[in-house]
Amino acid sequence: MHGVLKVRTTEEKAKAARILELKKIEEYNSIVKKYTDNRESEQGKYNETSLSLSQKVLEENPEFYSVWNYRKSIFNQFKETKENEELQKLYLNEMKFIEECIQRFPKSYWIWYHRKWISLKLDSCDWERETKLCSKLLNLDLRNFHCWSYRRFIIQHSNIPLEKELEYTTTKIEQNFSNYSSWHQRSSILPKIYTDAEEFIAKLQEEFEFVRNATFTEPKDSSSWIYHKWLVHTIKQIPNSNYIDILKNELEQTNELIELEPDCKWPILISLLLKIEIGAYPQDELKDQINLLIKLDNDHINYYKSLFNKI
Amino acid sequence: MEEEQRLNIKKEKETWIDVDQFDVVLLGTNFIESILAGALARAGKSVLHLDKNSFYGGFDSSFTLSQLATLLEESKDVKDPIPPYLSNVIVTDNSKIFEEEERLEQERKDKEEQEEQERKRLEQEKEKQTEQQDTKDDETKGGEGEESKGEEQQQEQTPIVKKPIKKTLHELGRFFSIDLAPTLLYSRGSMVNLLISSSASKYLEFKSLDQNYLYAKNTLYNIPSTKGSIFKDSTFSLREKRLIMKFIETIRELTQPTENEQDKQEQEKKLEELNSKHDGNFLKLVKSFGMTELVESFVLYGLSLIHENLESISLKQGVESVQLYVSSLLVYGTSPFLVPYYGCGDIPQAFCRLCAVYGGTYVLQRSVESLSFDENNILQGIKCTEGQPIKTKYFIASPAYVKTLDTQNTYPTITKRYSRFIGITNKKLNNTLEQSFITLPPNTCSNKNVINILQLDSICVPYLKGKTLYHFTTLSEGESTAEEDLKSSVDNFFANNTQEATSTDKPRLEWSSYFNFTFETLTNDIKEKNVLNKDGGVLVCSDSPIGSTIDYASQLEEAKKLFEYICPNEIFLEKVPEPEDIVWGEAQ
Repeated sequence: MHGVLKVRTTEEKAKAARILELKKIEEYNSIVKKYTDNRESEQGKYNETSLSLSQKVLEENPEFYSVWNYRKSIFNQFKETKENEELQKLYLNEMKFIEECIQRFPKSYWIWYHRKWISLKLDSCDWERETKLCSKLLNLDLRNFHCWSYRRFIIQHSNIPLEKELEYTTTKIEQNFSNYSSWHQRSSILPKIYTDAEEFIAKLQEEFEFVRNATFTEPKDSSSWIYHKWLVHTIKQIPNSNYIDILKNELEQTNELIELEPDCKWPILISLLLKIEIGAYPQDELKDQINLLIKLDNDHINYYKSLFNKI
Repeated sequence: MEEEQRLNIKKEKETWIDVDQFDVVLLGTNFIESILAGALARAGKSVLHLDKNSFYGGFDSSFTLSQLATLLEESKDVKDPIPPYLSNVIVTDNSKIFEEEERLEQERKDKEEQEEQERKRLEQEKEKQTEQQDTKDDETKGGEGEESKGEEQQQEQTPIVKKPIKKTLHELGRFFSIDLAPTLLYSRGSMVNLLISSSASKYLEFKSLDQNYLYAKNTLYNIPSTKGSIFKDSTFSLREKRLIMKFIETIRELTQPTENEQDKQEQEKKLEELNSKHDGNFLKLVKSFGMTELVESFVLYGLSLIHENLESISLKQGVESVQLYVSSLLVYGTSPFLVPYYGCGDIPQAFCRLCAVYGGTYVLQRSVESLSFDENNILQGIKCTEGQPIKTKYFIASPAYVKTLDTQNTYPTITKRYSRFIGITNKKLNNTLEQSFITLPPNTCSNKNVINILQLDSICVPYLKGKTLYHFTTLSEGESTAEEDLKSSVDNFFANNTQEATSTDKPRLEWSSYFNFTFETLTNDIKEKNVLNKDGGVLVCSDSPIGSTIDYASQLEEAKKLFEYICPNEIFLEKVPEPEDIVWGEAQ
């Protein structure tokens, strides 16, 4: 037929892709062989080749965690033999290399461990930049818990104000509150910022209101309820907090939500737990609520049954 | 004599088309004709596509400011029945007045500045003199050094300030792409899906809209739609937040695409239950949620974008519209809408290009004079306004074109009349994002029907900020003119003169126009029968119906139907293969 395009079929494409893949596997095997051969022959005396050969392996496969540890041993030995100036250069190069790896493999445990290890070896780590890198990664995947954990590591080792981090969790929660990590980050910072009991209580009350917007928007979402549970637990432990009144108000709000969503397990469970905390509610009422939960959410029957012992 | 004859033949030949026979001839490059032309050529049909105008797109075209001004001016006296036909045209050009005002203002400022500088210079000189006196008193030998210092200072005082020459609106005019009939595209709507599946998207550029607003109680409210924006919103009470979410969840449950047969049946059952409970009426369904008036308008005018005859929208239609909105969220941005960067007129052109790539022939500024039929009334061909007669099996055009050719047959059509306003201002509305869509529910600015406003800030004059383009569109009923329908809403948002603009902080209208246009769409009855005339060769297609409805779903449907009639069992706009998958240079 004249004028009709000949297009490659899916089989042809798949075949071409398979050939490429096989070639890649072959290349990888040869890289690994070079690395192991060198490792055997050098007998624990490391040099630049040790670094470059292991780097090639990790570029292809960062999950090969013993190679990361091998690199740690190299740096440890270099520390004995090299000047600090040269060492710092090597560390900076390592940071750059890790950065490239993270971009391609943002969820590999070993890469993140290695970054933490190197960043503390640096004379002065640019923590501001580290934070920015994290924010960039979290824009791509807001639930990347490695990244959230690294942020906590940064806070621990830098002078970045905690308030700034709190603000960051607020914006992240506003983007999408179905995010356990950002709620958790909040709960780990708040007690550090508010050391004065009275201020802390006021802030926690604000937080109750904040999280209420989330629970009313999506009562099925567990992340905001877990934060709510943390708030109840925390306020209870502040001496002289008069927390019962606050919990009573919470109960009232939660009951209002039950009215709107009578079949949703979360507000019912939370209202039950609040009643247990406040105390002095009739046994029958609590039992009815437990039985209702068992009916609505049979998967967690044993947990609900265990609550019978607490009332 | 011979010479003259030869010239005549030469002249005639220039107007010829190098082929005498086509499978399909289309007249008019409106939306439906253009998509159809692309699809037919893609499926291997030979296509001739004509337009009487010198530009592509007809009603669906985008214009520069001067092109638009000419078009509007011409349609004041010429009653051309060929799309785009406009009526009740009013154009107000205040740009010269404002530019003159700005020039005077600038002169005044410059003068003040000069005076200020002069004053400063004098003061400094005075200081210097006293200073010099002081230093002279202290130090008698420092004279020479002081002199050179003084010179330096004087040089600093007379810098050559190059004022950027401000371009006039009409000089900027060519940067605008102004749509006669603008619309928005749902990110997951049928148009965007088709652009992707057919690879016609490579001819286009889009921008995600920034924000949708509802104008009620003299306030612009963000239309919260994503979970995040509802959570963050401060307009609604907790209870209202729950109700909006519940409404969205209900719609999602009804419409979630599923492979599972059982789920499908469940969905159908639920839809039927709701249908019988609310008499198949969308408005009744919405009312059943017991929302407050404000929240209800958010749902009716913000989430569902079918605004014509709200009372009679079927439950299914309404639910589908909300579903389209909700599923389009967070696809390319927080807003569910895309806007073509260079105007909606780019879309029909993209399909025309696709048609041309697959061998379609285009001739603009050429119309059809007559159709020829054989004794059995079968279409034989067409005679154009110029060039040789052309044989064809099918001829397709919109009702207005067909009427000029075939007066014996009238096609039952529905005419819809829209009132439009196009305005260019010096800035965007306060507290709005650059690219915004604003919905005015009925009776907010003494309007009978919903008014849709499109604000285009950074994409209308991308390189030179400081101009904002506005489109107002509303369905017009009876004989009311565009000005009668829209003036009070326009006055509500914009100022007509500088004084008003300064005192109210409203954007100032520099150029504006009101006009009406009328669309002819085919009645549903005819659409069902594939839009045919007696012999099956002459097909009629609707003008591109827009207005207060969004996207191009109905146009696509009609184009598809016509395609299936001409090419039964062929794929409608099959994906164009990627260049790297094409096997070149093999013997065929």
